[in-house]
Amino acid sequence: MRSTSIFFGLLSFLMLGLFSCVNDSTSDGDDLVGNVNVNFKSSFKGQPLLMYENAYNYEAGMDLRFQLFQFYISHLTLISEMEDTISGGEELVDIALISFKDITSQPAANEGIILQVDNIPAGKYKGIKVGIGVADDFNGTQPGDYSAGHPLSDNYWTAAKGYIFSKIEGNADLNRDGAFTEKLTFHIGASELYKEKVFIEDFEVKPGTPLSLDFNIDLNNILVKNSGDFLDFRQVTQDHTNNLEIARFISENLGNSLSLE
Amino acid sequence: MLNKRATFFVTTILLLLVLLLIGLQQDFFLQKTHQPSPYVLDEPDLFYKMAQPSFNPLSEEGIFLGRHLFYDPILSLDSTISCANCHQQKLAFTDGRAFSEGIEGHLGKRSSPSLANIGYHYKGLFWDGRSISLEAQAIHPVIDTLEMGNTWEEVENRLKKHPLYPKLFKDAFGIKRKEIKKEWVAKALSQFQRTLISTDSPYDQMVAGKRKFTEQEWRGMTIFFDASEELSFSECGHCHTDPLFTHIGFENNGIDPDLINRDKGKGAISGKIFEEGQFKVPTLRNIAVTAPYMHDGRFKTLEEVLEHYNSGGHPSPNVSPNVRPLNLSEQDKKDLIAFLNTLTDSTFISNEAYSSPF
Repeated sequence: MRSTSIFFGLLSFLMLGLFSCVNDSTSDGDDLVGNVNVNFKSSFKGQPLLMYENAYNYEAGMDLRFQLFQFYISHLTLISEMEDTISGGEELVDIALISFKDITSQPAANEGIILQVDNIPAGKYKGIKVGIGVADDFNGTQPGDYSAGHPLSDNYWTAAKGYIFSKIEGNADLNRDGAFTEKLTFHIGASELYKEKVFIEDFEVKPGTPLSLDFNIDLNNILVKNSGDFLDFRQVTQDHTNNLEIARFISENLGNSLSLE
Repeated sequence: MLNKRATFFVTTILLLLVLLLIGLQQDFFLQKTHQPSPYVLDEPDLFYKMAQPSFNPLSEEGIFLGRHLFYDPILSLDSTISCANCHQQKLAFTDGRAFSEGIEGHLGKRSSPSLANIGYHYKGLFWDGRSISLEAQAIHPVIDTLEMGNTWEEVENRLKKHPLYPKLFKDAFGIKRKEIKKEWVAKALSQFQRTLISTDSPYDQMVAGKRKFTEQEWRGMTIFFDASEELSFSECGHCHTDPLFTHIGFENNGIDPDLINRDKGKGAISGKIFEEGQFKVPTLRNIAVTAPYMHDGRFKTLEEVLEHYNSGGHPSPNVSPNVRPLNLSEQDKKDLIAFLNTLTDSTFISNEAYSSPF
């Protein structure tokens, strides 16, 4: 009788172990978390930005076409309502490359770039902050620290020992004669050009109802300052962050151009 | 008596449940039946970590089999051509031709690309990116009439009847003779190719502090990476990003004035007009031994290549904006070539582990 009890005891233990192996996805806290969909769209003077496809009117009688627009974001964080400052919060994304390279059609532009973040603690939040560029804790790393396909496995600049925070590539038609002959390449990156932007707004993460955070960035506002000060492609067609004046112009405008819809 | 019956009944039910649950743990049986020796890739610190598919883990036996298949002409219709015909180790796994030669002297449509560090190329393979993985890529050359010109049915039959291969497949994948299929051949070839890592060039030695560059090599590197305003910019490093010396993507580098009756590259695969004329950016590692250059081998020397880029290339709507007139001096070009020569990895092109096992 005693050996039978031991046998059943062992058997029950074994079965519990096996069950835990078969189904290990349940969690007691499922009802306390929600999902967040972070969406990025790009535009040019309010019109959807399509690579290759569209030409856009620019300053001083110039037209532009683009082939690449991308930038990194770091530490995208929801600021908890309980926080006294904006230093803490719930990090949604540690690092991401927001690349519009493949946005070549209207449907793709309508969809934008979507980052889906699961299992964020439900609750009220009073804002969101985002680093524009590669934060220092990442900019000291290199592709060898990451797996293939990770955002930081690419865009490393060995000569500068850091990442290229943003890239704008395209062509300019300087006099609207239909010839987009001027080639534009602006590759910007340096730790001092990293910016943090905060949006104060109430959000609530609810179980079962994804929170949508819709960002837009207007490329025209990166190339043109409000004052009418603009990158004149008759004078300059590239920068590798060797000209800090241009690099700062683009970096500051990049931060200012990002809006939360 | 009743208690004994009940005990027997419950015990039987529980045992059946246990067996059922064990059955659900498929790995339990798989691990018991076949365990090849895991192979841990010695990856360079500077490279991002290779994406290795979980369905084809590296093993000593898999790589051994893949190496044999790579060098064995058994894959071609008339048993004259192996993978190594177009991918010769001494030429950094290219073949020195503008257009690769298949069975019966057939010429292919493009030049043979280098396989150095090919396991790191996860954005598409072939010049036009038509295959997303090495496993998918390996299926094509066997049945291409301009390459091996065979059928997979014939290859599978030959391998099944072969005195050695059934055992090698069993050792590598635990499969029986009758189970030898193209998918296993592709897996073995992929495993071997993932080991083809080139990271011991003079450039790598310089980065590791084991070697010093000459003044000319240093100047060439500075021009290559646009690293100083005091020297010319060559714009090379945008697409030929180190440490792989390719961003592994696709670009139109303006080598043709138009694409009428020309190879449309990636655009022919995707059907997208703005991808026409785009080709995979090749690695510049070992570039000094991989002539001729471009997808069609049109440039015989590095000097010709530099001349093309110095000119700014032919305009078209999707030419990379990084291809622009450079105004390089003759000295700049010599310096650049001196730097490019530091990318030749003599260890890689003589490594016995990559050589023919026959």
